[in-house]
Amino acid sequence: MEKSSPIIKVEDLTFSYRKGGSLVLKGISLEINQGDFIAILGQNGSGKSTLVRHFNGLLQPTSGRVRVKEMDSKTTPVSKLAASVGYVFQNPDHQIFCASVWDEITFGPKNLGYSKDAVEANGREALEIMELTGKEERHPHSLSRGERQRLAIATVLAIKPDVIILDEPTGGQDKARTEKLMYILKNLNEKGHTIIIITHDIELAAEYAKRVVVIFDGGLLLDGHPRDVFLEEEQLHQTFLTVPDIFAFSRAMQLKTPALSPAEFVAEYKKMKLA
Amino acid sequence: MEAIRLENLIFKYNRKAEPVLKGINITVKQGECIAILGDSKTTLCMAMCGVIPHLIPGHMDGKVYIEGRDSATMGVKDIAAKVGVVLQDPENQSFNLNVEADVVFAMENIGVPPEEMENRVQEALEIVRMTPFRYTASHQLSGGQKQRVAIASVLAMKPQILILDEPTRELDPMGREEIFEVLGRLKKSGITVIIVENDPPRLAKIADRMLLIRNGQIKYDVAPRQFFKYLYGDDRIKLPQVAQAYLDIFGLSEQTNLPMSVKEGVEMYGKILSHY
Repeated sequence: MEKSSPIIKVEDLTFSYRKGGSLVLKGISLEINQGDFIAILGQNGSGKSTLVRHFNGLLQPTSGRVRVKEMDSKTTPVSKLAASVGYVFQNPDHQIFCASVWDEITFGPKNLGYSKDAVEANGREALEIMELTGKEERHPHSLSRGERQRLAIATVLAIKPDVIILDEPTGGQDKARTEKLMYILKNLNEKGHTIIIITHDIELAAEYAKRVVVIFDGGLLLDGHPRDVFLEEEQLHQTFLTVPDIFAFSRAMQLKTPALSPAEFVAEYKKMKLA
Repeated sequence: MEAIRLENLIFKYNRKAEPVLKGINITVKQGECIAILGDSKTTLCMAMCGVIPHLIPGHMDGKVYIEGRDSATMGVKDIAAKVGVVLQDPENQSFNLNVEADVVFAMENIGVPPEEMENRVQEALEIVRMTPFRYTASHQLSGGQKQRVAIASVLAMKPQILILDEPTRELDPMGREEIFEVLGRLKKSGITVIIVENDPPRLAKIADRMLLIRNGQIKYDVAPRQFFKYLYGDDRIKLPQVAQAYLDIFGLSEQTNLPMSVKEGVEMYGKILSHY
């Protein structure tokens, strides 16, 4: 495959909320490629959300540079960045404000000047993917919390951004809902969308992400394939992260390739027994 | 001795509605740690701490006994002195300027004599390891610290029973670690702990019994190991990873002594592999 330029390029990014205030981001460099599925891990206050809010121009670097598809985030209008990078808030009620599901879903594309046909088609498709078809006329606040969360994701999908960022998309949800959402994200990723999730759930990151980025105290602590990142136990410990049980267990059992999920363990174990 | 007993508890939020609790029977012994999973968990918590029927309108049938007394005949203040409640979001439980004031406020509400307060503040902050933050402004605390203060202010009331409704939902891994560490210590101190959370593998580490509520009824009320054997294959309950892999490989039988942690897994597989 031809190596294309990164979809998001972060160069020596520092950020402080006040001029002369303490730095929340202390010089981060990072390249995100088309088709990545990244989990960003780290404590509250480590700078995870501050970092990703630079990707769609919600925040501007204090120093350093962020480029989205070669566009400098400082000189590119936020509306243009929003068409490339969508951001789903942790709390759906922070982003839902229209009087009907359909108004909500079409708000973004209309605002960005999409054609009438595109607004219609994107809206229908987003509702279908998030299983909200038939609820177009409902008032968003009459939906359940889970439905509102799906709506929040759908409003971002309707814009068809290259990159979709989700802040804690599975917090407080049970296994079935979590798996369903991750399945949808996996499909979107396979269709070419770049997915970035911020999460506290390291087991989830292990199972679904192709790349894990750990932020600690405003800096980039670790960045790589989950299997490689999890071998750095001491550094993870520094930020109070423990590797998934199944990973630790596979190492204790001296599996050649430590498993990232129970299913992987089962497959490896069967191979080991055959050998 | 029994701490809480629910006898055929039925509750609906209004007369015409379908009941959310349909005849619940639970006995919690003093010093036990009970984890509750499934539906209507919060409603059940509210019934166990007397908020139902005293403060929430609805229709209740059946009985709730707190240390042998019918909660419907007790005053809210009497119940509050026996049963402490910690909610999801610590922000909702902090109204004062600093940590000490938050802890004292709770005691003032149930009429603890002033001369007793100093001791209780010290003790409560010690248990949750917040002594160095006694005079710190509440807004300067991390989420885990705020939740620990919320627990301290409840502990200062010296409850025999502590109910926690998703206490770590808003917290990051460090905060979650802190709260479970505190709960482990409380359990050892002999206090009865009832905890609602959405993280079955984590709960299994501290709970004596795990309860699952489905469709308003108790489906299971068993020790963690047995709980995961029953719930193997359920699409809503996550098993500890080691347990999941074990059952996927060896299948489930009556005799299965299910490993739940890395350590248990290593022992169990060691035995199995030594047979080859």
